Formats: sequence, structure tokens, C-alpha cells
Amino acid sequence: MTGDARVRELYDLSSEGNAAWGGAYDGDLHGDFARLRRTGPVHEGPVAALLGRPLPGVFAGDLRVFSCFDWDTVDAALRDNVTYSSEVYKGLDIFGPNILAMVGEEHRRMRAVSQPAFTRRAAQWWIDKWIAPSVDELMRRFEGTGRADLNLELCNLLPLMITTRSFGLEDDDPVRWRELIEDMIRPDSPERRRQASAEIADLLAPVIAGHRRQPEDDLMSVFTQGTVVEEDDTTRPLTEDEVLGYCRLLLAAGTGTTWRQLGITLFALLSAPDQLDAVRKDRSLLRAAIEESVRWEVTDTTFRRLITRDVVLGGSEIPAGSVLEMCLSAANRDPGRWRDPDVYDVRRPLIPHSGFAGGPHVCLGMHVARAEITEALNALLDRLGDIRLDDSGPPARIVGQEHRGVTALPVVFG
Amino acid sequence: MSGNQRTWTVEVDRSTCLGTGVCCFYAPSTFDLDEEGRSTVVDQSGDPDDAVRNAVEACPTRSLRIVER
Repeated sequence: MTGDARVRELYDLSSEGNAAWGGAYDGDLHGDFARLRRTGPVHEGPVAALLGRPLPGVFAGDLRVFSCFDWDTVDAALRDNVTYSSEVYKGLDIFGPNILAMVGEEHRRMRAVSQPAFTRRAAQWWIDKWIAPSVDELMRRFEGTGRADLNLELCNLLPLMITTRSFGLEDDDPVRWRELIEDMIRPDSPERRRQASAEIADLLAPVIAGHRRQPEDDLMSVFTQGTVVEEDDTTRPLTEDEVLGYCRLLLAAGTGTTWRQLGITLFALLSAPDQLDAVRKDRSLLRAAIEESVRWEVTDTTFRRLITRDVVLGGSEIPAGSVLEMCLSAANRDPGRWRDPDVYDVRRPLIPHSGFAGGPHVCLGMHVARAEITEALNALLDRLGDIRLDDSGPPARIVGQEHRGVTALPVVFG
Repeated sequence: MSGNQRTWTVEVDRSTCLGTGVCCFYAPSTFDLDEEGRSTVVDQSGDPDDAVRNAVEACPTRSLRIVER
């Protein structure tokens, strides 16, 4: 396959790998979620099965599964990580020890290793070192051409370049990394998951060793030089497995969600030219435009927890030992919290949403993701002049079931 | 209502703060992270009321609270 064909396949939500996440689904997902919220908010069964379109499950095994669909139940479950435990993700055998699957003090101690590199203030470090140069590099490739598919020429590659470069992988082919990541999280093939996970370990081993000997001003060095503060206040470096666990998790988290959220934000604005124009003229609206995008269309619709004691949630009794699927997308369009929740509106008053999840596992990369989207949108508005959707081909749409994103983002400009 | 006329202040429980910086996003002129990476109030009247209330609501560990004067 040529480079372009590889990229097209990799970032086509209806391709084989993405279809395992329901990427090809093109129906009225939010209409279905609204019905499940109205008739729930809690139902027995996984979200995908309740939608009538089961997906391969990698988390639950034989456990009973329940799903919740409104703001109150999702928010309550996200906040109480003891009752609704992240250890459900320990069933995911591919990352190694990682913060997604840790709970309580263990989670706090391990997250603290990298948290300072992901604060709002640290976002400036990311902008200067990786975000702004990567935006510039990608923009140069198409800004003189008058047209581009921003899904394939910007949204996909930008977070991939930023993440791999922050790991000290600037000499590697970033697309090869994305292929490995896709295989590592592939829900329909445990074999491919394990192989990709092992290959990533092999590729990272020399990079980790190099950074241990000679730290750089980058994210990899945060893991190789960082220390965990133990219960008795002693400190220790991360083990090789813990460094790998962090790397695998953040490679996956950093390169998939921001790709699709940048595309969704652009799609929302380009589909509402008056709002795009308002943002162009008043860049202080960018913050609201991005938050509204993350509320309106979350890239990863569903997160999971293991219920550790008998509970009553949203009026439903759920026994200990069940899995709970929290539908963030449905919570973010709860009409009890947002008026006209299906409308994308940059002028909507800002209130907290669950687009970056919430509670102690709130997205580690949220400030960096916001910075990536902000830098990309500013560069597009500054450098491409009058940018608009190219309506000469099939119209771009947001599709997908568990993973949401745009089919394409063809634009003309200048 | 500006912060100066408020009947309340906002307080941080440093013992439970995780340092995620959620508060710094919603109310950037009110909160900052200190050298230990925990939230601290730098200006009680730094942001509008609704921004501070958003930070309090969104805090992942409920480490912020409104205290009536």
C-alpha cells in the first residue's frame, strides 16, 4: 500500500480496524441515546447491545453489564471511584500497569508522576516544543493548494506527530506508530493486541534506555527520570513495566481522541458559518467553541467501571461485581442540564460537561488537547483566509458508535 | 456581582487536591497550582461568580468549597 492509501485506510472510520469500534455506524446515535436516557436512565446490558448493534467486548467477560445515560448517573459514577472502580480496565491486557486501571492512593501516586507535565501551565511547553512546529509543518504542505481534506492532512497527523515527538520518536514514521496503536487496542483480535503491545515494547526499549542515561527536555524523560512517592514517603523510580504502561496508554490516548475531536470541532464550525465567522473575528470565543465541541460530540462515547458493592443508581438496583458502562455522550446531551442539547452553540453559557470524563480519572491530557485544537484553529483562521466546506463531493458527516469522528473534512480556501 | 462584594469565599482542601488543574481552566485568575502542584487561591475576586462556581462543581475530588463569610 502506498503511504497515502495507508493513511486513508487508517483514518477511515468505516475501515476494518475502526469498524470493530462501530466506526461505520451512520445512524441516529443521539436519537437512540435520548430514548435510552428517557426510558432509563439505567438499563441492563452494554451500550452497544442496547443500541441493537453489539460490538466485540474486551472488558466484561461473563459479568453482568449495566449502562447509564443521564448526567446525574454518569457524574455520580465518575466521581466515586471506590464504588465504581477503574480496576475494570485491568482486564485490558495490553498496556501494562497504568493509571487508567488504578484506584485510590495507587492511582494518585502514579498519576502524580506525570501530572505536572500536563497542567494548563505546562501546555505552553507543549505548544513551544511540539504543537506550534507541528502545526506549521503540516500547514505548509497544503496551504498553497487551495483545498485539503483536513481529516487526512491535519487532524489525524497533528496529535500523532506531537505525541511521538514528545516521546523522543521524531525520527520514526509516525503513521507506523498509529498502525501499531490501532492494532494494540483492537477489540476484535486479542492476538493482534498482544503482538502490537510486544512490538511497541521492543521499539521503546532502546528509547527508554537512552533517556535513562541521557534525559531530554521531553515527556519520555518525565517517565524515565520521574519518581513515585510511596506510602511511607520514600521515593523510587518507575519500573520498566510502569514506564511502558504509561507510554502505551498515552500513545493510544493522545493520538486517537484529539484527531477525532479536532475534526469534530472543525466540522461543527464549518457547518455553522456564522459561528465560524464570529470565532474568526473574536478569538476569545475559541475556548467556548472547543468546550462546546467536547460537550456536543465526545469522541469516545463510553467508559467503564466495576461496581464493588450493591448499589442503587438512577433508581435501578445493581449488584456488586457488575460492570457499568457510562455513556458520556448521552450525559452531555441531557436536556435536564442543557437547553436544546443537540444544538452546537458557541455562545451557550459554559458549565462543566463530561467530555473529558470527570472525577479522579479526568482526562490527563485535557489541557494539552485544548492547546492542540486552539493552535490548529488559530493557524487555519490566520493562514487560510476564507475557509469553507467543499460541497462538490459527498457531504462530510459525523459517524461511529463507540468511537465518533468525521468521515472526511474536505475544505476549499483562499 | 464582583468578587469584592461577594458574601462568600472559595477554599481549597489541599489534602485531597489531585492537581489536575480543572479549576485553573474554569477560573484561571482565581486558582493556580503551587510548587507542590496543588490548587491554591491566588485572587478571590479574579473571576466572575459563575466561573468560580464552575470550578467548584467540576473539581474532580470535590476539594473546593464555597464558604459564606
